[in-house]
Amino acid sequence: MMSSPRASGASGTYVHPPEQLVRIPMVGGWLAVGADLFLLLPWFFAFFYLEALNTHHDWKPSGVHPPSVALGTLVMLLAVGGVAVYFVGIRWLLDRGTYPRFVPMGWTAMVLVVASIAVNVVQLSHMGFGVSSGGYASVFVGLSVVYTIQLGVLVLWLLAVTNRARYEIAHPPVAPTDGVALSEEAMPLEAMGASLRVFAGFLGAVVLLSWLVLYFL
Amino acid sequence: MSQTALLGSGPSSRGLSLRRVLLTQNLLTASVVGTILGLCAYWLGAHLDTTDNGDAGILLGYVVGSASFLLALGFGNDLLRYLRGRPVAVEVKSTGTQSWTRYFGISLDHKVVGVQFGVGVIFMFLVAGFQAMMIRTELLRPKPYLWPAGQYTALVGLHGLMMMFVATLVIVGPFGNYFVPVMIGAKRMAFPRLEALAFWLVPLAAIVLYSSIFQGSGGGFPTGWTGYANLADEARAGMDGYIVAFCFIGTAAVIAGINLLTTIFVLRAPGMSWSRLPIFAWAMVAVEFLSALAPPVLASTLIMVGMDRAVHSSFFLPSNGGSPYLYQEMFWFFGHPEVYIFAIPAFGIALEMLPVFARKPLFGYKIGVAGMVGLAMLSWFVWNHHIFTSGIAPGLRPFFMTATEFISIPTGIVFLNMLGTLWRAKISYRVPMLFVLAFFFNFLIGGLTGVFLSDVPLDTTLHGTFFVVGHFHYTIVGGEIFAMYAATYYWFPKITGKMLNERIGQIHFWTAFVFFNTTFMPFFALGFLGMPRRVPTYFPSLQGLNIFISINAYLFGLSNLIFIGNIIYSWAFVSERAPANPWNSRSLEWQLPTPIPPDNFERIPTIIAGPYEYGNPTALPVADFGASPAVAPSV
Ligand SMILES: [Cu+2]
Repeated sequence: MMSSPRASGASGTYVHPPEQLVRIPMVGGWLAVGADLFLLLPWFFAFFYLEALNTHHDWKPSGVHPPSVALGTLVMLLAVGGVAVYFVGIRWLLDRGTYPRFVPMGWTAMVLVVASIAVNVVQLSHMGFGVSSGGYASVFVGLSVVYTIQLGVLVLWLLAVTNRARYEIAHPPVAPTDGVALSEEAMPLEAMGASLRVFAGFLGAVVLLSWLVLYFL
Repeated sequence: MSQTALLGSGPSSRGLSLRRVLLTQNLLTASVVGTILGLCAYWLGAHLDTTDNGDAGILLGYVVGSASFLLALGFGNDLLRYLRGRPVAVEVKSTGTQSWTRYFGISLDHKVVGVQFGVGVIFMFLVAGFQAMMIRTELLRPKPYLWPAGQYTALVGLHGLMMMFVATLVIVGPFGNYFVPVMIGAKRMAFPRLEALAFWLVPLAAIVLYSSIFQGSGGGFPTGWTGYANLADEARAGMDGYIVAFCFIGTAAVIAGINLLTTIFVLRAPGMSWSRLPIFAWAMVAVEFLSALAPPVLASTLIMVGMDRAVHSSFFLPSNGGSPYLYQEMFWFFGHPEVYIFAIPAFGIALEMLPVFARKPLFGYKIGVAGMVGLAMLSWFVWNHHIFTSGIAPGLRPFFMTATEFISIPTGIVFLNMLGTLWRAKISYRVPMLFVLAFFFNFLIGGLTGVFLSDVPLDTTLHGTFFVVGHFHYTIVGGEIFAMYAATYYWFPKITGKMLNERIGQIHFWTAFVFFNTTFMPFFALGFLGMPRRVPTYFPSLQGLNIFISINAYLFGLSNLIFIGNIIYSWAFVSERAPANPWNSRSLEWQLPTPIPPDNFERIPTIIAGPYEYGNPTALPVADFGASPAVAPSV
C-alpha cells in the first residue's frame, strides 16, 4: 500500500523526478484558477450587461432590493476570514514545517467557510424576492449559488490538506538514505498546500468582489 | 482492498466470473447504478417542479445519473483517499495485465486513454456522419418529404452538436493524450486520473445528447448547435439534453487542457527546451489555453439557460429584464475560440508530418510557433463577426471585421512553413503526406471563404446561408478531419504495431479528397443563390445542384467506411508487424519499441538534438536513452 515508501528515487527510475512532482500542483492550480476566472466572468458580465440594458425597466422591478446587507457582509467576512486563517496557517507550514501548528488553523478555516455557506443559504432563502423577479434577481441568485458551490469545493480541499497534515504527523517520513529526498511518489503536502493557497486566495477575492457588486452597485 | 480493485480495473486476470463482474466497480455496475440513481433523481425533481416541462427533474436526473455513474466506475476512490489525508500515488504500477478489459474502465495509462478516445470519437463521428446522410437525403427534394420541418431542424442540430463534440476532441483526445507525453520524454500525464475522467465524460455526453430525441413531443432541440436563447428558453424538454451534454464536453475539454498544459510545462525531459519541442506539442500548448479557458464561459452561459428553463430566472427573456443578446455575446465569446480548438491541432499535425515526408528541416519553426500562438490569442478578439446581422451597434463592426481579417496573418505563416518546407524537397507521397497536402488545399479554401465572411457587407448577404455551411465544413472537415486521417495513417503503426494498408489508404485518400470537394464546393454556389441553412424547404430551381451534392455526399460517406474498413482489416486481419520506425522519423515516439512499454521510458531520456534535422548528416540522434541525470528542464 501507499503508506510504505518505495525507495525508487535513489535508482533514478521514478515516474516523475521529485523536483518536477512538486511543480505539478502549482502549475495545475494556476491553470485551474484561470479556467475558474473564465467560469465566473459571464456572471459579472451578465450583471453589468443587463443592468445597462435595463429592458422594460425590469432590471430591478419595483419591490426588488438587495437583500440584507448585514447577512451579506457576514457571508463575505466569514469566507474571507477563513481564507485569511488558511493563509497564516500554510505560511507557518511552508516556512517552518510545523505540521502540528497548522492542523488547528486548517480546522478553523474550514469552520469559517462552512459558516459562510450556511449564512448564505439563510440569505438566499429570505431574499424578499424570487429568482424570476427580473434581471438583478437572476444574477444575484446565480452568482451567489456559483460561488457558494465553490466555497464547498474549498472546504473539501481544506479537509484534504488538513487531514494530510495529520497523516504526516502520525507517519513521520523515513529518513532519506543517500541524500535523495523521500521518494514516495505521492504529492507532497507542501505542494498541495501551496496550490490550495492560490485557489483560496482567488476565491476570497471573488467573494469580496461579488459582495461589492451584488450589494452596492 | 487491492489497488487494482480500487481503480476499477478489477475483473481482468482472474477471468470474468459473473460474481466478480457484479461485485466490482466496472462499466456494467456503473451503468446500472447511474441509470437507477438518475431515474430516482428525475422522479424527485419532477415532483418538486410540476409547473411545465419538468426541466428541473430532467436536469437533475442527467447530472445525478452521470455523477453516480462516474463514482460507481471508481472515480471517487482516490478522491476519498485525498479527503482522508492519505497519500495518493502518482501512478499505481501496472499489475502486468494487458487484458482488453482495461479499455472499459478507468485507466491511468495515457496510451490506453488515447485509444479509448480514438475509438469513442470515431464511433461518434460515424453516428453524426450517418445523420449527415439523412440530411442529404431529405434535401433531395425541395419540400419536406421524410421529416417534417421541426424534426429536420432537430436532425441538423444533433448532427451539428455531435460533430462539434467530435471536432473538439478528435485530435487532442487520441493523439494528444497518446503522444504528447512520449514526445516530450515523460512517463505520465501530470494528472492521470483527470485524464481518465475527461474521456469518460465523452460517452456520457453522447448518451445524454441522444437521449434528447426521446424528450418532449418531436424530440431533440430546435435551435441548431448554437442553442440561441430565447428560443432555447422556450424549447421543449429536449433542450435540457443539449445543455448537459455540452457542459460535459466543455468540462472534458477544460480538464484535458489543464492536464496537457501542466504536462508540457512541467514534465519535459532534460534537454527538451522550448526550441526543441515538437511542433505538434507546441500546437497543443497554443490550443489547450483555449481549451482550458473558453469552455467555462460556455458552461456558465448554459447554466443560465438551464436556470431560465428550470427555475424561471430571466437572463435571456426580454419580457422580464433579460436579453437574448447576452446569450449571443457569451456564446460566441466561447464559440470563436472553440473553432480554433478545432483548427490549431490540425496545423500541428500537418507541420509535424511535413518534414518527415519532405526529408527536410521544418522551414521557419519559430515563426510557425508564433503563428499558432498568435492565432490562439487573436481568437479572443473576433467573436462579434458571428453576430454582425443580429443588431449589434454598427460602430462595433469595423473593429471586429479588421480583427478577423488579421487572423489571415498567423494562418498565412503556417502556409509559409508548408511552402518553405516543400521547396525543392524530395517528397515521399505516402498516404499521411497525401492527406497533409490535401489539408492545405482544403484549408486554403476554408480560410479564404472565412475572409469573405468577415467582411460586413458580404456577411450581411451570406449570413445564415449555405455559404457559411460550406465555409465551416471546409475548415473542420477538409481541415481538421483530413488532419485526423493523416495522423491516423501516420501513428497507427506505433499504436497497434500494424501498418494501415497503403493501397486501401490510397483509395481512401482519393475518394475522400475528390468527393469531399465535390460535396462542399457547390455549397458556396447554393449560398450565393440564397439557400438558407437548417431549413428543409428551398427554391425548386436548386434541386439539381442539391441532388448532385447528395450523391457526392453519399460517396464521401462511403469513403469514410473505406477508412474504417482499412482500420479493422489492418488491425485485426494482417499478421505482419510494422517496423518500429516505418517513416524514418526523428521524433522521440518513433525511437521507442512498439508497443510502447507501460512506463514509456525505462529511464527518462536526455534530449540532445531537435526533432527536424532531416538531411543533415552530422545531426545527433534526438535523445540519449542511457543513464540520465533526470534534472528538471528550465522553463
Ligand atoms: Cu468566428
